[in-house]
Amino acid sequence: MDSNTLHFLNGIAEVFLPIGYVMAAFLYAMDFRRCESIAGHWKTRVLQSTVTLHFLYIGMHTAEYGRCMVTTPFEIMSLIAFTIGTTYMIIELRTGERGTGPFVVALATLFELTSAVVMKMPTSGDPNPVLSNMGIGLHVSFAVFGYAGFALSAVHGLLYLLMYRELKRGGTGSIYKNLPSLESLERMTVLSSLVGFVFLTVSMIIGGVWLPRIFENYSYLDPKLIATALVWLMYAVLLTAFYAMNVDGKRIVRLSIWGFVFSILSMTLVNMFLSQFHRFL
Amino acid sequence: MIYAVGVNHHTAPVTVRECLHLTNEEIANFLHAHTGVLFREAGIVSTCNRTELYAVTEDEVDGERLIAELRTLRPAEKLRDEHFFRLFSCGAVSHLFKVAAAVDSQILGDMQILGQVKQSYELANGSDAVGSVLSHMFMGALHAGKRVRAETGIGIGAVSVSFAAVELARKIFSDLHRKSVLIIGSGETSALAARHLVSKGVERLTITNRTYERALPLAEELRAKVLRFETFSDVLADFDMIVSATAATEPVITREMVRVAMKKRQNRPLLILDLAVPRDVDPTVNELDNVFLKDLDAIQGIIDQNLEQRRQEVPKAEAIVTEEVVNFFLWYNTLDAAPTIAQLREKFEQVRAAEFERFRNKIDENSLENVEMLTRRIINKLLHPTIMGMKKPAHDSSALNTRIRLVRDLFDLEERRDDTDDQEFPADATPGRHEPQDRQ
Repeated sequence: MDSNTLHFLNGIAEVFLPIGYVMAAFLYAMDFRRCESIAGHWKTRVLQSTVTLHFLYIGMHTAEYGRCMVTTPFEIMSLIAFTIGTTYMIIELRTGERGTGPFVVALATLFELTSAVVMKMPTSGDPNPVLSNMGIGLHVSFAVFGYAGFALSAVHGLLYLLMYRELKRGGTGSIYKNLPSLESLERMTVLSSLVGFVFLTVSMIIGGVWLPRIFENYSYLDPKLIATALVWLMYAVLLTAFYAMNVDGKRIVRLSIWGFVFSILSMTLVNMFLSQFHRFL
Repeated sequence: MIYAVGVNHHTAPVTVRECLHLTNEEIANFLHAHTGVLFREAGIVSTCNRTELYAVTEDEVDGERLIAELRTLRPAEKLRDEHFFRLFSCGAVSHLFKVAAAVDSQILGDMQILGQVKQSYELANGSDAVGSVLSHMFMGALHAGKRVRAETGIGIGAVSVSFAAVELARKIFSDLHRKSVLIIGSGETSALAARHLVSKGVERLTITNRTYERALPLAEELRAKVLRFETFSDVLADFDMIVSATAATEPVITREMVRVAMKKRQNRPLLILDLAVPRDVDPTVNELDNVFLKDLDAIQGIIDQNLEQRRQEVPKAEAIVTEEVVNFFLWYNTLDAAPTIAQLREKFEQVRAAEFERFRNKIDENSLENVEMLTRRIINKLLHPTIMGMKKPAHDSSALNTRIRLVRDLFDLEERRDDTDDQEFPADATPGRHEPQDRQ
């Protein structure tokens, strides 16, 4: 396939991906409210098609530019949307559990829309050449997967708290009817955290090996490294508390939510104001 | 004519309904005895809330006659004529479709009825009492029922205390098999809840009662452990779910007992169902973290809301039923064309046979069979479009009558006085065993 065709196909995918995610989110939300039975029939199909298209798009994008899809905020947001969408789809296919769909798919849609509408701006010049390095590409990709796992964990944690409140006050609305049990939500929260933790650990190992080779001014005291280590530590505490100390679900999900909030805030602040060498975008 | 007669929860109290509750054997015998005599086709739906006969009859047999025969099955003084409903034609079909869709159920949306209607159909079919009309009717009803279940929320949400208890447990725990349940009390309410929990997969059940011996029969029935009442508070932490329904006038479970238990169980969620009046559990227990206490009012609130939500789904369900009834009658109306089709076939066959006879001696003896087959096939092919056109669903009887009249005029078919008696139903119309054709 020549580069013109690839470019053309990528352009089409960039138009249809946000539409697909919005449609899927809309159908999941409709079905959650039990407004339309047709929504229940189509929602999974639409999401599956969109995620498949997204997978093809990532492949075509990588082929067109000859590098991992992690060099611009637009690409990273899109990759996060894909990771969340795919992870949810696998959970749905394996467990048949669809109650969390509207929330998780909405999160994926938010990332894809941000990517497509806000961040798809004309690029001025070439992206950071450092990101063309395969080792750094993997480092960033794994970090993205890791943070996507934490995002999913936080969503499931929030749903746990919503369900907890609904059960306590004896409500029987959509939340009570459609969400899975507290135990399932707790398990999904921890599992997503575990997946995110593993990816972040791998990303940190790759970064520890490659970054000193590439950056002359590499420093272990870089604020971004410290912030990442703190995030890693928070999730390590969470997983230890769950698996080794039998801490109850409510505390675990709170840790997960705070962990995600901290990771987003710290990364945003550090990226914007503090990091010295560790800024790629 | 299609008739539906019988008793149900709208027309008769339970003391009367139980008089006419029929076993499968009684139904089969009744259908065997009367098919081809009293009715052409028939099926009986007999559940705890209804015994209803659906029959396709000749003109001289009416609903009263069917009721009279039905009453001979169980002669009972309590069972009177006014306890029976009588529906015919569209009313009868529509009723069966509503029954299958659980719109007519005593507990609205109780989808158990769909399986019962299917069993009734299979029983009638096994008794050689089903022809094409009843087959279409039952298949249509089952299809309507399945659509209502899939496309509406009429069957969603628990509408009894036991079901609501299990539903609540499932909203907290993902797997009831591995959960430990304590039942306090061995009265009727406790026993009902315990049985339901066991039927839904609870395997680790413990029963405690102030009088130890009274707990034993229930424990034996459900293969549960029995705990001395004086000691249950010491092991409260071992249970994930507690159902309490005693006659005690003071709280059986206090806030302090639960607080200590929660500490021991490292704050893992605990569901407490207080089904007693006056209440067995201190209401402030619900303020403790990860403790979910539900009393009868709370459970009744869930049931009421679920019932209300089911009621809101009724218009959707009825719209589906209407759609399916219309589909049935689109097919059923085409049966009016059956005598004309039969006459048309007969006329063509007469012409074919006459011509064949004229040329018989000019045909080689060895080719006779082939030529006869050839002429039959030509006739069938020529008739096919006309017959299909007449069988096409008609939205109103005047359109169908116009179609029939046109064919009769074109082919010069004579009017027959005994058309109705001579109706030629399609090949599968004769009563007998029919393969169920699930409409998905």
